[in-house]
Amino acid sequence: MNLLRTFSYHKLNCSRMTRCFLGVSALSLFFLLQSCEDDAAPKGKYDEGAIVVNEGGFGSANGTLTFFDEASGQIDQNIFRNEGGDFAGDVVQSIAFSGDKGYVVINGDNKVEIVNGNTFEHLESIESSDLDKPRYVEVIDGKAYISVWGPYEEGGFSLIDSYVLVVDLNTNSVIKKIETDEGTENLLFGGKYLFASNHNFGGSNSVAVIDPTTNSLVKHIELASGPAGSVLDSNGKLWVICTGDFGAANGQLFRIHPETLEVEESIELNVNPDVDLGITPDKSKLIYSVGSSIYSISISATLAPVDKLFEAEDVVYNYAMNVDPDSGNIWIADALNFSTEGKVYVYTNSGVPVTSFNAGISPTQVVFK
Amino acid sequence: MSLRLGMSVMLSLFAFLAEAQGDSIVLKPVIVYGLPVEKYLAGAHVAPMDTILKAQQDSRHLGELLSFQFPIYFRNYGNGMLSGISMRGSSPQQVAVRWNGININSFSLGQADFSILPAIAFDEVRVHSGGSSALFGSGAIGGSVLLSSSGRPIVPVSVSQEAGSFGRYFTSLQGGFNAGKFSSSTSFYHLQSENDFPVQETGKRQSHAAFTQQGFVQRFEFDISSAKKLKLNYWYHDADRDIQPTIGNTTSTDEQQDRNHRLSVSYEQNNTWGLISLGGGIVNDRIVYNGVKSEVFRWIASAGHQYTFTNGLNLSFGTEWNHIIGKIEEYGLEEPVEDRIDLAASLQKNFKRISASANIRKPFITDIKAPLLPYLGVNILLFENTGHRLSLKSNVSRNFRAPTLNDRYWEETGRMDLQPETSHAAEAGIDWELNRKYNFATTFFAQEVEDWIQWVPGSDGLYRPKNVKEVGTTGFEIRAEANVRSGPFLFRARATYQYTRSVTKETHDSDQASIGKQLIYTPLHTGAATLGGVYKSWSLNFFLQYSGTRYTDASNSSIYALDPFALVDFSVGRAWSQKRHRLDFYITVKNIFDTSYQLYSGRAMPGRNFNVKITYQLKHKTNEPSKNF
Repeated sequence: MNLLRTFSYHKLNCSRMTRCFLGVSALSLFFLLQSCEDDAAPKGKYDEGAIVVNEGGFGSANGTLTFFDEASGQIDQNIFRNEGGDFAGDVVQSIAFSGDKGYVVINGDNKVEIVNGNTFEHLESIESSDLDKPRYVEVIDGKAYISVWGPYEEGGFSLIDSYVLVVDLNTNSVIKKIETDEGTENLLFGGKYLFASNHNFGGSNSVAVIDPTTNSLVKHIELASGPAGSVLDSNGKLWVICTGDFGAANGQLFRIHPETLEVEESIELNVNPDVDLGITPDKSKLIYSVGSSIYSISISATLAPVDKLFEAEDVVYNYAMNVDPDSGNIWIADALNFSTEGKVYVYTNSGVPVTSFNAGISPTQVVFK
Repeated sequence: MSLRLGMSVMLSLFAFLAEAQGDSIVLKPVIVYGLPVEKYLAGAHVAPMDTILKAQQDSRHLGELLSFQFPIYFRNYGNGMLSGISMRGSSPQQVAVRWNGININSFSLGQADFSILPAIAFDEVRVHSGGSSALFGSGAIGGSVLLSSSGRPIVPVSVSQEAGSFGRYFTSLQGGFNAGKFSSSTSFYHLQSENDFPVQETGKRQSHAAFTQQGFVQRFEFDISSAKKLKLNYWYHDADRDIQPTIGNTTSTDEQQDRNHRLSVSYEQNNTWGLISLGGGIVNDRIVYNGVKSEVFRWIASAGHQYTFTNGLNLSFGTEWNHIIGKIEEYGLEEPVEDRIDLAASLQKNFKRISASANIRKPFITDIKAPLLPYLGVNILLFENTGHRLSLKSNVSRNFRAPTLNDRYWEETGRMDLQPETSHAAEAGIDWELNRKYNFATTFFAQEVEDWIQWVPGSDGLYRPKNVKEVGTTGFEIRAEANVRSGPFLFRARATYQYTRSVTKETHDSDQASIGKQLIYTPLHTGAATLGGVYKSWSLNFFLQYSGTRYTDASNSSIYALDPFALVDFSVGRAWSQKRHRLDFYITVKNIFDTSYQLYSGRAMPGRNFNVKITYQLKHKTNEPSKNF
């Protein structure tokens, strides 16, 4: 749901070729791909495009990854299958890429599946009894940092012990458990420190700062209720959106210096925004949403915008939002009622519908690669 | 109750039995003119469970047995896990399960969990397909499953032991006696399973799916006089299971304990004014999920009167009161208390070639406006001669399901203004019996369910129940049965098939993708068959179950659909009898073709597996006809 570090590869100039794809058989498509490979050597079928992470039905083990290439219109559902062979797993929460690998966090299975980031073939699995409700992953220097909710309290559903788990990717074994405030979610590496938002449905109000060189907690920065999505702006500053208290319309945006850790700016949004925070390709404007209402705010602003950027009228239940780092298009994943195939709507940065496509059940994250 | 305690109670009972046997006498038949419920369900199909299947596999839960005998689909969340029934395109909440006259669906969840209804706990199981709220009240939309204890003890002592694949062991002890006007029968059972079957998809063993179940069933009957009878049934069941996680999940720690107390007491008196019946009961259901407890208490009282006029017209009136207390943390500080009172009346008459019934029921529920529920049914004998018998059956009904306690009282999201689901149903069919050996039947059915309750997400992310859906179901069912004797051989074959189209017609804005689409976990095609033979003391049976594609998402996406499957079980048995002693031995191979299948998305089911059963019975001294095995 947040802007995870994406790795752009040399853009393939296959647009003329892809136009030929329409109406061409799978066999010739194969040969065309081969020829394309001869020209520009793509690393796999899915090396360029967007990945939609679909949770699947809760407890139904049918979470999936959907691939969509806006340029060619190529869409593939369920591109990654786990060792069971049918789907990606139970409640697929998020994906992050590092090098040629993708790291898929399977919340219900308590696993992180490592895949070839271009073909989405299964490579390895990270499993540990410490992986109790994992949420997001960030790879820094051969180590995976995984935000983990941890166990519920005995006889209830309150979180009592959340942390960031550090895993050595050479051995896939746990190196360290870094205790954080409850409900740890989005992760973002700011160049020096790793920032972990502690959301807990608005019950936590801090961002944990982790030093990856020592794998230790530097401090918790107190913000407001429900820190969630985070991005880095054109000045290298960290922005964190806080969703606020339930029904209190008191969400806030915070700007933080990624090295001094000083909170430089706070903006009251007067709404309860959604958890995702996007940024325009030039990293000068933040994009956030409140249901189907999309808002834009300059990184130099001090007050929340009065008017929304646009209304995404087709969207029933905005469950994920992100901004294409190349085109600046705004993508919204609609989970509808969470029991049927979701939809993804693509709008220009002024709200003109570009395209839409079907994803899987409960689409929860859009990542561009 | 622990098995050890159970066994010691059983042993002392045996000692008592040995004494009681000495002076047991054959009792005069009791004259109580209760009409079997089938009479009031004219025009409907009510079928008993196959006694052979039940005798051989009574350690299995009802969902496992019914799916091999009826075109009924069960969505099992794994092997031995939550099992929800689907009949004629209904949801699991739209089937009423009744035990000795008491509805035993969970009043908090609405559905019955068939995985904790082991077949051994009942003497009789009958399945009614179609709507019958006029007789069975809330929830009898797709059908009803009627469970009961039989009258007199069948055998004084029966001991059974099973051992099967994946660490499965089952032990049962049953006994009964007649002493003058008093009779008693008692059962204890204990089931345990490691349930670590190999998961075909991954090649690894299923983790975290072990379970144990145990229970105790007691029946007393006191025949005060030839026209007065007092009955008591009590059933305790206790289950403890690790919740089988989805395929590939090896770290799950979820667990659930279920404990149910069920008591039903009835008194019947027959005199010149007719048959008066008074009943009472207590149901206490407790579920503990990961330490979170939810409990529902229920008090039941009922009274009925039936009169038969000299022209053969049966008229009956009845009333039933359920007092429900929900002790569930999620309901908030105040424990909800709900009263449900039903008033019902029935008329039944047999004419020369016609048997007809008319029933009507009016429920009154705290703060809910329940509809009037009529049922009209008729059986018409069209043609009969020495070889053939052809009859027509038809019925129409209006049915309903009250919102569950969860629907109404869940803190913040429960809604007191929910309306009950209502349905209009109609069916018609033909039964053809040939030479008393062959039976063919077909039924066409249609049903419209309105105000179907569904929990839909709001803009604040919270799910709330709403009366949003309208569902139309049409389909047909075919049944065929043959019983042929040839010399020392007895062959039996029965097969059934159902086509069910159950489609969403209207629903919430967020669910428009489901319009015109088949309901989830509702196969278009369902089938079941039994093929068996008996030769002297040997018996051999094949049991088949078939289910077509099941969609698991509302838009019927093929990506999420579960593939069709056919399961075949095989069993061979032999009986030895010596005076009053009888020994039965069965070997069962389940899923002989090692078929990989799922009944609920992502939950593995076992491949080929084996079970051995040995049963010892001590029979009555008198020359009672032995059960036909």
